[in-house]
Amino acid sequence: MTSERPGSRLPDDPRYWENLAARSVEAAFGGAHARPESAAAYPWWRGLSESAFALAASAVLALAGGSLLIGVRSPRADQEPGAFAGALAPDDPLLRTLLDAPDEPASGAALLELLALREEER
Amino acid sequence: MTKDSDVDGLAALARDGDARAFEALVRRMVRPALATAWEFVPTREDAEDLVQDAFARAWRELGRYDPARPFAPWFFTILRNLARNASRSDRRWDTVSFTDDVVMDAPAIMEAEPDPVERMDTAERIRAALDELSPMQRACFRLTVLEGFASAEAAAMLGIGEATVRVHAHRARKALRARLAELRGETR
Repeated sequence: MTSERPGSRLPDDPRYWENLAARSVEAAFGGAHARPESAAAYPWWRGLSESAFALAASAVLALAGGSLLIGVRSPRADQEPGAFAGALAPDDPLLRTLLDAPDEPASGAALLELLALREEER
Repeated sequence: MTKDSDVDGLAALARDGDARAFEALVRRMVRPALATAWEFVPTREDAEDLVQDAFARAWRELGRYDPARPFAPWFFTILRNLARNASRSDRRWDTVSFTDDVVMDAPAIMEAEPDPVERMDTAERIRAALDELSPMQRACFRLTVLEGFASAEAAAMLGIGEATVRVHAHRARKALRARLAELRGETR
């Protein structure tokens, strides 16, 4: 995944993903219902300390790097699904993506699958 | 996204209690997880909460995961179920309805302005055009075209067939082309 994909609303900053992964791991291991076998293989304090380190490192890097983390969290992009971070030039790559890129062919098999799906929904 | 074999291998190790494998699995899956979650909830913060809940649930229930089968569809089923359950208690969450031909209401900006096409900038026009797609078309288009996931990946994320993803993305692009035709006329 490139960091310059036009129209993407997912953050580009690798530290954002590390942070979210760390929080997800902490949510899993720190939960009240942690799997018993995981406790033996992975002491609870190790997950907490590594997650805390990752969070602290992210915070330090964000402070040192100015508004990198803040920059990808524009209020508009956060609040409005589908919103793009900024205005696009008329010849923006996204427009070319939308208007000019070839489609994957919708084959007869694909249409049959869609029809089957509709039948199931009914 | 990562090769499925890598993900499935990590999932099998995690199922046996290897917490480090689970950590690696989370790192591999976190981006598609957020992309999927955001199709169901209105803000990125809501999507992040959903992702964390889904990984926590997956860790607790890994004993039910069959390592002979792909991990991604199993995980995304958990995530979608959590989204549906949460949407019942939070009306802000407009859970995607995976039925075709559901046309969303035009965004408010289209109704408030007497000549909205002239007044909207390019990004707003594109966003408005996306909002007019059905939830399914929008999700398939956004995941495959804008976010760059393969059709097979998007299929696992949304719990539908790969060919169905392609059909919806094709229809979305066709609708967007029509909606944005006036913009193309202005610029070329």
